[in-house]
Amino acid sequence: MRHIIPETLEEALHVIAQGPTIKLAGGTDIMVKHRASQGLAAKLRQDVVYLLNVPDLHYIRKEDNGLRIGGMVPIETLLHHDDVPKILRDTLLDFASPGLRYVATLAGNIANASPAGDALVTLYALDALVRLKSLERTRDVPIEAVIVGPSQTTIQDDELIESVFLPDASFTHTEWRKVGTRRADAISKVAFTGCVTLDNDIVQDIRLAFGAVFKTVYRNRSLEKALIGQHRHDVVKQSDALCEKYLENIAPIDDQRSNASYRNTVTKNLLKAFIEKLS
Amino acid sequence: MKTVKHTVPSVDGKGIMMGRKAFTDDFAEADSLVVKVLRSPHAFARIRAIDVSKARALEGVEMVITHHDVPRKPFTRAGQGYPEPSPHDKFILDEYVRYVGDEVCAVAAVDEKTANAALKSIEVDYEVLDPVLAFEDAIDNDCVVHPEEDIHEMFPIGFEPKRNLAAAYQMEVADVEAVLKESDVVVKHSFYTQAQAHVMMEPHTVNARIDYQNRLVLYSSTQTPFHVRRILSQTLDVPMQKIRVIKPRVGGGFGGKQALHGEMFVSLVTLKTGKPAKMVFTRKEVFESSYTRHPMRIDIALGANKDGTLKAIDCYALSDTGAYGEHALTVFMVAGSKVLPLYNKVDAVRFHGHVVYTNHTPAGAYRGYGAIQGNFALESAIDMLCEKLNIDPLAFRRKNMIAEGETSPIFEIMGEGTEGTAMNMETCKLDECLMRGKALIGWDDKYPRVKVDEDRYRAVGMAIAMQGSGIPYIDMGSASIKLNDDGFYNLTVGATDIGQGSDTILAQIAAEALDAPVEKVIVYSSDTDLTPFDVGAYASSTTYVSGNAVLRAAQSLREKMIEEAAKVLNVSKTSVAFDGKTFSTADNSISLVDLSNRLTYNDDQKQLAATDSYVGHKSPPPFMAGFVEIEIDQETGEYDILDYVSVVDCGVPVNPALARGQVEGGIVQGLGMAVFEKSAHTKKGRLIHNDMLTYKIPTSFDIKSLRTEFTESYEKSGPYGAKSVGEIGIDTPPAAVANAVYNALGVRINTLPITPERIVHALHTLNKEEK
Repeated sequence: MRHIIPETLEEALHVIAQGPTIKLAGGTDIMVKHRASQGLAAKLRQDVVYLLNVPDLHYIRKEDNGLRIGGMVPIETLLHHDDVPKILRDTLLDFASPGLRYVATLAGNIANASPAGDALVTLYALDALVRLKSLERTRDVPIEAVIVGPSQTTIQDDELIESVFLPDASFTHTEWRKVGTRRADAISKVAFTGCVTLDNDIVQDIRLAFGAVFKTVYRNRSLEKALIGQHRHDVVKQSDALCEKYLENIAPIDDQRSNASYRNTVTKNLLKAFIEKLS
Repeated sequence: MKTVKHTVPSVDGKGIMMGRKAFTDDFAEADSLVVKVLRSPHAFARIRAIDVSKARALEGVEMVITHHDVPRKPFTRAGQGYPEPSPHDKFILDEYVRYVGDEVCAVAAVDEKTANAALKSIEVDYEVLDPVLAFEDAIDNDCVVHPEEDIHEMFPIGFEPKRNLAAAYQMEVADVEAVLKESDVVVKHSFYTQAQAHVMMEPHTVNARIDYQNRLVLYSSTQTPFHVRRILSQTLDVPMQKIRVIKPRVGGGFGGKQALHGEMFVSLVTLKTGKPAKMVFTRKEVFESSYTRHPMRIDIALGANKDGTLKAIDCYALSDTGAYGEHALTVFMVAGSKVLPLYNKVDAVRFHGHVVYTNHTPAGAYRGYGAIQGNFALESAIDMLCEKLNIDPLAFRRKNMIAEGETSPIFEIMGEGTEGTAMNMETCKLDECLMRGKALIGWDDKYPRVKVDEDRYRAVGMAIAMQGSGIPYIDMGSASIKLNDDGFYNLTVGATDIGQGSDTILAQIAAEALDAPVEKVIVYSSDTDLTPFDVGAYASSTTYVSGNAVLRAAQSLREKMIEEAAKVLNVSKTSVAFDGKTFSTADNSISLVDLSNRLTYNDDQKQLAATDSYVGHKSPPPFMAGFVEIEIDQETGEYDILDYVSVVDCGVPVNPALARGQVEGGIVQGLGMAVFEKSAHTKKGRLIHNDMLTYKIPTSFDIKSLRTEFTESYEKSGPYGAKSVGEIGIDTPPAAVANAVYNALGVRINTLPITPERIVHALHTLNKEEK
């Protein structure tokens, strides 16, 4: 097993082109997943490419129609950057703990592909595009096409997450809710991001994303689409029916943090409260 | 008082902050063998065969110990009074393993890596047995956790291992059932508490070496060094004089170190190999293979008259001691004896129940020691009764609770494992605690709840509590103090500082008695060779019991010093005054420095020293009222603890800052049990919440405001008026939070922790019923 510390993106792409590797960003998930007994180094069985300090991946750049965030920008930096959408900053304030936020990254959160990844919920709501880069190609993939299940992604061995693109969007109201066991350092039992744009009381855009209640973050574009064009009062009237539809589709589980019945109830209550705020 | 009731800095605070060597592993020999234990993957199994040949053959492995290699002698790991009220049901190693995490065998190797490799190479053929996992089904279960014949109790405690009973108990004053029948209103309810983990920062740690006098010397992170020495000697057949146990600074215990954990193995390794050895528990071992709090089911029935007079309390408790019966009976009894006397005016009271074996991690001592479980049940039920009677819960408590000068028959009937000791409450400021707490929390404006917005409410809840101050006629502490040249003192005590600050408190008591500044009193605690005996740090005993010993020793030394000064000044000792620095008569004087130097170097040389000890003849309870304010969101069942007010009667707080630290540390730990700390097992009995990632203790984000006050109180039997304060803080949070949740949303949660899941489920059930 080798430790490789590339200094440029180019060099990193060459390294990962040679075969399967562990791509280490902040390591806040990988080191836990591979932890050994107390006092011993983590057991990593493949070559490790340490990407966190590659300067080419540390940028936040306004582009036409959106914001591009380099894959290795620490969460803590995003928290204090004025160009980062407020709803994402609201979310990241609940992300892990201050210590972890200094090394954890959006790319790491995406590659880890946990159904309970807090940042992911809001990235889904923001229609984030993930830029995957290899020596051969660059592709921009919607986040829901990158993450396909718990710890499962469509990222190829020779690819890394170069950046995340957030298309411009302006909302009249956004809401982030995290339900965890305690106020810090707790993985979500349920998480919710809601964004809505109204124009003259008519819904122009609505996005509803849920964490920890499905094998991935859950967002249902057809249910959202059906609400667009409606008067806000009409949407409020449908809140119970809408909640039922979401409950039919999500599939929460029992685990050490919580149970399915609680997750169903809370999903319903959070969604209902969000919708009813439109009244 | 010059020193007592003043906040002086901890004697060890700065040194610890600067990283000076203080803790057990700091003192391990650099060339120690590392001892590791192979732990059972099964909740219950018999070891058919065990092949350690590969491990023994590994380079760097010095020793492998299986149950074939150790003396078969039942003992209890509980460090308690002797003979112990805990059954002798444990072997160093046994052919049976009784919980996931139980000890299969041990290895000693040159380093941790080799030790781990050795563990991996060991092949065990298990006959997997059906475990007893549901504690309510344990009694007379077909599966017997302790089928072996050679285990026993030290005196009658209701030990019937063939029925899975570690202990049983029953007491009754008057005829409870008859009084309940006559009562106008009766409330009956069951309550469940969980197997809380101690989560002390320093894991269980011990190391051993043979010294140049060929004696076994251990450093151990223990609360009870003298009990460790005795139990090692009795179990390993090593003469007691060949063993020395040193307790350096302990990084937290909370009861979890009131027992032996790695001491047997490092001693065996060092005795056999002659080489130093050490053992440091992993965090997983701390969770899975040390101790937990006893989970309990408490069935309570209260009877009252319409005018709000409490007539009867009936309490049945079923306690789960896990695989071994350490502290089984005593924790169980404290659930009654340190709870039920709160309401001492009842016509009838009964406390009875069973402590059962299951195939879970053993339960043991844990701050509160049963009282927190009992308090949750009783103080929740009292609020339920008040609701039924339509009486204000504070007014009800004031009418029925114990007051100064009163007693309860329970004190005489129930001790810890034995009969108790009758006593009157010389100090009991419970009413002041309650009224002051009521004002501080703003009860009248907030009770029962205030609406914040569509979904959120703020609500208040409260509970009262009591504890004890040591165990009368059992807990003995002692102290020696000597005068040095230059006029400073060495105080050596058997008492055990585990982070609670007892070294500082005891130095303050000595300083007060000698009119000395605290820095002139150098404390050394807990070394079985060097310090006099003390039972150890438990049962809220150190300030009261050990403190009284220190006070006596210091007063006795003061007398001796005055006697010597009188000789020098050529007067009778009654005409000598001593202000801490100078001995003076009307027309003459000698300084302490001069006297001490003279006694050391010049004339009539001698060492002045005094030793004394103390055993309590009663156990004056500290009292408190705890008030909580929460803000709860009915959408999610989540709630924040906005404020916790504690008003405490602990007699005179010897060091107000340390006393406050004890109370608030207890409150936070109690809130952890009430709100956050889950303890669940898989179907096969493996503990799920066995690391700090999944086991959630409160963080500073969760604790927003703690306010603590002490009432004016002076306990004559205590050193400078002090009672205990180490445990009382932990007792009120579960009931106070449960009562606040009820006041907010009308749902009664009877199972700890009070999670959003349970609240949402209860709301769901409530809504269904209303429909």
